[in-house]
Amino acid sequence: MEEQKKNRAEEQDILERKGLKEMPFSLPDFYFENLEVRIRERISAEKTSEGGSHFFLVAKSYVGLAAAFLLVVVLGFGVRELTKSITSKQMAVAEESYNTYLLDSLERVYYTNVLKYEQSGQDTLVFYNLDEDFFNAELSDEEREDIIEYIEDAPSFYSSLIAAELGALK
Amino acid sequence: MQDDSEILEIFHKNGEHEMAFNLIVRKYGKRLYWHLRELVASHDDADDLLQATFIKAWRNLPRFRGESTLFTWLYRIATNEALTFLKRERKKTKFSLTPFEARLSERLTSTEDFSGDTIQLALQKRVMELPDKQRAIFSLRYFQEMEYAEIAEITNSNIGAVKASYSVAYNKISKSLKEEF
Repeated sequence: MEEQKKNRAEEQDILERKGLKEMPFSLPDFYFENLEVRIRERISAEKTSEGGSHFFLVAKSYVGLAAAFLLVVVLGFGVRELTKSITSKQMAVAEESYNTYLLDSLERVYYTNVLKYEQSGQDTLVFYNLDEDFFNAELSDEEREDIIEYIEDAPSFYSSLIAAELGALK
Repeated sequence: MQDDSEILEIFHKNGEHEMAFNLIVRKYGKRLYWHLRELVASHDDADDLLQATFIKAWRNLPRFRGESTLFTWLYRIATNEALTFLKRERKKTKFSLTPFEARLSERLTSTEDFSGDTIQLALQKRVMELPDKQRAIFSLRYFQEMEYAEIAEITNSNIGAVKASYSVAYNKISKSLKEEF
């Protein structure tokens, strides 16, 4: 135990050697002589730059705020317009293709078959009634149902076919 | 040299702020500088941190009411400045192949500022290899010969933790130096 203590003391002694606690670094000449002057100069310099930077900081924050607001408005407007235009475009395309399809079908049926109908004495009224303006008009689901019913009631094979096509498109 | 209470009286009662501040810089400048130099190794960084310490002290001196002594208050600012600086530097070299401790150690011999002998150089290198807070504790106790209670106040630790940290650092360095010399 005693030996252990002695050994430990010997190990620690190296840090107790004379001169070890002195700082082994050199310094620029007169470094401490004008220290307070340099610190005061730095304080003054920081005050000046802080004055400027404070203005820019405030200005920057306001500009940032304005930019953020503008961005939100632009994005909101953009999204709204985009959605609006997509929706209306899609609606228009859907409406147009729907109507075009109906019209095309009817025209095809009419032009290829109406003469046959007429020649055979069958009712061709259904085809004449379904004119272009009618199909271009905005129709509610209820109105479309009425048309389908009307066509289905017509004594014609083709009118059934058209009614089937209209039903498939619904 | 005036004691702290006289300096504070000059500052608070007489309102001679600049004079009081100059007295503080003259009284503590050297000691704080060497403490910082022990922590960051290079003169330029120590100088920068010393100025930052006094600037912080200047700004906060009007609110200083003597809850701690002026001496421990200044050391606390300086130590915090140095530890923050080291943390920042360590982050910068996070992906470097050379560990930050090795870089600090290299700083000792990279300039002509080092004027010691081989054992002093070996000691300084071992000190630089210590973790930052432990280096601060070791530096305050070994080089600045402060009381454990003062070190505990400066490093915001309890006395037991300071004693343990110092003992570990001391034995580690001592053992390592004994093997070399």
